[in-house]
Amino acid sequence: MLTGLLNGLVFLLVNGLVVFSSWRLASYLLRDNQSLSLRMVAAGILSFAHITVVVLLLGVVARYLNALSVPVLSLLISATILFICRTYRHPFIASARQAFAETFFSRDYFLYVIVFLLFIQVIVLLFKVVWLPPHIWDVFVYHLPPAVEWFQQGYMPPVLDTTVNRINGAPLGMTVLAYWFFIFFRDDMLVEMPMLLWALLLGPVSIAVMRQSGLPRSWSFKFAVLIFFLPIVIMQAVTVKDHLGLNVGFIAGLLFLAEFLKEGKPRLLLLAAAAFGLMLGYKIAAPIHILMALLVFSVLLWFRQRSFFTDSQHRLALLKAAAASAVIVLLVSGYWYLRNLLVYGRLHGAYGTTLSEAGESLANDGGAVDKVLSIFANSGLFRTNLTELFPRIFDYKFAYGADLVGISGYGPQFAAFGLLALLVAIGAFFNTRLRKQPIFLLSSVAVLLFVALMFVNFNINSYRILSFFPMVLIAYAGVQLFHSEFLEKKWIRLITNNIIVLSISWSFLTLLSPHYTNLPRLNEFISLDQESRTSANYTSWFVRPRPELYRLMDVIPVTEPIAHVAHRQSYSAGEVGSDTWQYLYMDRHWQRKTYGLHLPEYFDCQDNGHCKTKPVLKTFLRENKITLLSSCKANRCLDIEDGKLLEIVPGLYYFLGGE
Amino acid sequence: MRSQLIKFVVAGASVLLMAVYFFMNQHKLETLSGDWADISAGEVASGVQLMLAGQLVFQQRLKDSEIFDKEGVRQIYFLHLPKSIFARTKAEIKVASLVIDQQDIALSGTSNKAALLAVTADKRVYLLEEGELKYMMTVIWNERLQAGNFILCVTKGLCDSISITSNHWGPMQGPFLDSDIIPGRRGMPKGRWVTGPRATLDIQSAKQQKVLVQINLLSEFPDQELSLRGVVAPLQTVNADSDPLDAGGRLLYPVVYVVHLNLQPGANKLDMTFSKWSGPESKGVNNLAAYFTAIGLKQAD
Repeated sequence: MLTGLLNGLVFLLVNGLVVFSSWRLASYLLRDNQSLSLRMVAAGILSFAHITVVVLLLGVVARYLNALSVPVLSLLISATILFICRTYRHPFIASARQAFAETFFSRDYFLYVIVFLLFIQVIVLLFKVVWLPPHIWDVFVYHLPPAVEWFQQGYMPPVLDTTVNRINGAPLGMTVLAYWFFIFFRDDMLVEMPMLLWALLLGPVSIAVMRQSGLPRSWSFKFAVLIFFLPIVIMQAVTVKDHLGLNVGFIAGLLFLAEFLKEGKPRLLLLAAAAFGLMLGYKIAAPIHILMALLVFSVLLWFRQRSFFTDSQHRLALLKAAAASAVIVLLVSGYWYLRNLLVYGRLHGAYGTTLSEAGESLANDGGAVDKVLSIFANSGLFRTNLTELFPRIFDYKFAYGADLVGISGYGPQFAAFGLLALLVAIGAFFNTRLRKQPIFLLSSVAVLLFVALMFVNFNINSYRILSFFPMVLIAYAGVQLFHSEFLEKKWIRLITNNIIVLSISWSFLTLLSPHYTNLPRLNEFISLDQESRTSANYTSWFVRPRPELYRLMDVIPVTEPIAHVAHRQSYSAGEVGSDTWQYLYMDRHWQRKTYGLHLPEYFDCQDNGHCKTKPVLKTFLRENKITLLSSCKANRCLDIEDGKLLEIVPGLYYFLGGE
Repeated sequence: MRSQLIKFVVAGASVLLMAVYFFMNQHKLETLSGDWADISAGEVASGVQLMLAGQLVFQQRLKDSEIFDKEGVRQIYFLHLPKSIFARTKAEIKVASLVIDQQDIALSGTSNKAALLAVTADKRVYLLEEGELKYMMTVIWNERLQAGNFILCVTKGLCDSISITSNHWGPMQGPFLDSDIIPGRRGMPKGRWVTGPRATLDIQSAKQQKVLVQINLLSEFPDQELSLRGVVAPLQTVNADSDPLDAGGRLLYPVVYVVHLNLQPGANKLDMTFSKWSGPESKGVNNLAAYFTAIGLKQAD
């Protein structure tokens, strides 16, 4: 009890100082700008960057990563920032009070309903994060296991002994954040918090984007809440995936670039760099987003801030800012790509492609550039994407799910506002007035990138990396409705307000139930002791095919290690062949040790999945004091024939020769 | 005027597109109501308290283990106690009791010195000394080993001379809880799916003997008819229960067939023809006709 209280205090102190020092740093970098939302975005981005740099420095450079070193280094960095920026004070409370007064000055009942729904939704999301365990298959397969390994080993080895190949090529920035939110309590209750924080940051990001283009506060707020309520955002806010970080970070980066185009202050580029750095640390697909952003930015820079090309002083300032930006990007995400270069000899590591998540084998793959060019040369994907566009955007073919299987998660708000905004955004390329708006950078990048990705990216989950599209276009709709004087008409205001409230209510209602779980057991789960509230007990993916194993593992002491089979070969139809997809960290505190057994070394298996053990298996089990063996690759289990291995429940064997 | 028209068109298109979205996704609202029905049907976890001479020394919430004893009647639970509490409980076992759902259950010893046992009508709760694993594994393994057979011999020794197999039945399954994650198997007892339209039971008999065979099955169809043919005496009794058993998502109808068989030494075949069967349930198990819950054998001489 006392330990928990102490951990809570340390958590609040360290994180409070991270946010406070980031706010101060944001105030310093935005000292000529009075926008509260912009400052909040900057503080959020800098906070994530702070956390990332602390964990990477300790895990990779110092190789001393634990519950003591993390808060200590963070406190030191926070103190240093506060000392350096001590004169740049910008009171948050006063600014917030003023913004609040301006937003709620009129008696707008729609606004009250929207605020009420937002409040309830945030409470629900917090409950889901804290009380319900992590879910989603690939979270357990490769998003979280590296954090467990880092915790157990006390540092971040460049290559993990993993059964899931893609871990070793992936940038794991979001896993770094998950580690941060685990280490204070040594409990997984907050590991989904980073994605929720990214979702919450989307609020100020959207407001800042719309305010930058002149939309009044109250409308900015309404459209920002509407964007927050995108099904894709609500669903992914309670996961340990990385797509929200990628997409919100992308829009934040574009926002600072747009602000730079407007104000011409090179230090704004540092904030864009921090946002892009975080993005690069989250997803191997991030470079194409950033390349597109920089391409459009360069063109607009030429037209809007030509002095940076013609005036030597300006040029020097731009070069200095660019160099500093490169350092920031390197600090925040450079490690993942340097590691890939050093270990695999290429930037995208063990990945088969820079863009896809398919994880093809390294040996059959050409270089990244060749791959991209060959994909662009093939218009087949584009045609497939076009055919699928309507069903995906209207979400009707499949149920809502955070993995966006066969849907976009764009919700009714995109149908109502986004599609029409898309037409205007395309028209804006040919309209001088629209091109001059700050939001043009965002809308044009969003449209061009969406089209570009249609050439290179199609799979059943492909809309996960495309959530920037509705976020930008709904904001764009808000800005254009205002500037076209639509919102001056009372009946249009009424329709707009109703669409916003209906869309928000739809998302709230249809996404309220945690349908990714075993719902008849929700009451049981909620009433269990904290120690038993684990994914193994509850998440539908696990309990559906192998309920006995996972529910049994919960009562097996966490000090008992477990070995599990691992091999790229598929032994039954429907099985994921490329990796051994399974999750074996059943305890909340990540204490159980797991050992992957490369199949051919330890077993002789027939094609039907019937296996005999080799003598080396028993030696391995004895040497590592392992008595438990899972024969299941993904959720299909091999049949093991050995007198010393008792099958306790399907797929779980007990080794009798352990003592 | 033109601007007014544009505004009207834009607003109308916006509303229309949203309406299209809602129309095409109305099934999501149906899912929502199903979700809430599932949630409200669920129950909170049972509370377990270990009492020593009326004093509470340990408590924990129990989740359904889904691990059953060999009869498929009781769920098996394991609670690990801290060493000091386990030692004390063992020493004071006469005054020790386990309170499960306000019911006081006496504790007893087991063959293992690191385990105690409490049994209720639907639970077997093992109290284990912290870290004890081998006994736990042995208990589960033993129960599973004995649970694999659903052929019950009423006459003592009859099963020594008769064995029944079939290429038309699936693996032993269940029992499944009412809260099972797969609605189609909620509440199902232990049993095997048998495929239709025709299936054969291969009966090996060590000698010539007359037996009475009782087949208990659950059918998805209230008017399912099963014809039995083979080296058998004619069908004697068909005992259909008219009350349907609501087994969660799958409505099943229990039926009992009793036949006389005149078994010859060696291989005998009992051919079954089902009047109805359903589509494939899962890969490798096609045309499910009936779920056999037990086959009872009795000497008929």
